[in-house]
Amino acid sequence: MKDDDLINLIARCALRDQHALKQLYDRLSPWLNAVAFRILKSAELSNDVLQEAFVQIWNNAASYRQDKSRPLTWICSILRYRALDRLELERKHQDKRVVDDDLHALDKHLTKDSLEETIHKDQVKSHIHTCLQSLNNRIADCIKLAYLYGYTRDEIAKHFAIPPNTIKSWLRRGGEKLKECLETRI
Amino acid sequence: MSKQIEEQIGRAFEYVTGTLSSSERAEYELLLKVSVEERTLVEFWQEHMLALDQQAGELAPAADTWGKIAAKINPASKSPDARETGGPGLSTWFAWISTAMATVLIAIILIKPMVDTPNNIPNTDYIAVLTDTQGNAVLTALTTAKDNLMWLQWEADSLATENENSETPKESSLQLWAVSKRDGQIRSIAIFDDINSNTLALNETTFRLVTDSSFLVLTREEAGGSAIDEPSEDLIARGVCIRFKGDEA
Repeated sequence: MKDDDLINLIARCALRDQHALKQLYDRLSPWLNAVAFRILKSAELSNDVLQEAFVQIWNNAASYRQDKSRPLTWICSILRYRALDRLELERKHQDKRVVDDDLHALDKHLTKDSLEETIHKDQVKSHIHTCLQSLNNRIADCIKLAYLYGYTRDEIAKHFAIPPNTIKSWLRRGGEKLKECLETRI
Repeated sequence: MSKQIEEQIGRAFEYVTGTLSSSERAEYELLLKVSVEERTLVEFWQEHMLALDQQAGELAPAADTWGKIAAKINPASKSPDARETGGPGLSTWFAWISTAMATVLIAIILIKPMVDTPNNIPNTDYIAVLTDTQGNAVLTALTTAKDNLMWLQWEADSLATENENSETPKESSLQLWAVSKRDGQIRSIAIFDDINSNTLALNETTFRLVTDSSFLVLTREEAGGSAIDEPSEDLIARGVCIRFKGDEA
């Protein structure tokens, strides 16, 4: 779906057009549900978060600024923050999450084919993949475990058997290097 | 790079990746409300990190999820799939929806016949319903591409309430501004000394301001309009400007 189409639908949501929200839902909900599921690992929870996110999209549509972010970024960010909020609540009741399984999945996440496909599809979007690959492997894994699966510093620290403050330093250092790398490619 | 900038970048990055502790996150969200610089950093990360999410694949949501969403955004509706409805006992928020929708309908019903012959609906118009902070419609602006005219419908009651609440001296003007969707800049479209104007002739520049805008904003300014060509803080109303296709009426 093109950005212009999404912008138009968000604008119509701001004018309280439910049909526009339904169109957004039909086009984006399977993808957004997958993003939420990856973090929450529960279909029930991901559907709850999807619901919360679309209500927030509806309520906040008038505040969307297309000069500030692409529509997909705005929508996905709403969903991700709701998923992270929910994950934090659920942590109290969940069994300890196992980093190993997701770390293994990371190898599949950035296969050569998918990377090349992404580069072909959208050069700008691929910069983050390239820049992540330029980082030390452990730092890159930390970033991906946190962003893709919602692991906390403590959970990642436990997996690597190092203090949480070291993970914080890795994340911060990784962020700086990523920013430098991304800025040279924009 | 200074320590402070390093800290800003790192904190924004951790906010977007989701690794700030709940107290750090709550504190940072307060900062985001007031700091453009921090928001810009967060937007930078969100934009770039999105590419990682785009490989998440797809997972069909539960069949009843949309119904639950529809029920939440439209609590007065019995049916989850029902479209816009109205009725007694609605919240202020929902009343705003009704007002906005009603105003759009008024614009369509009352203004369109003035600008169109019955069988000659323009292909594209631009419509903005400007509401105040309470959600009351203050001004509906319909721009017709055919003749570069903006048709105005003022809601005198809403404006009177705004006047009562204003600290600006009575000798004042209203000024209409366009917020560009390209660069976010705010530019003046017109100055009104009263609300008797029902039409506004647009020149090429002001017409483009409308078609390029994401929002229209109405402010109260000193008599004759803003001397510095920037809107005052006396914001009366704002509304999304959308391209309105005739076949959607």
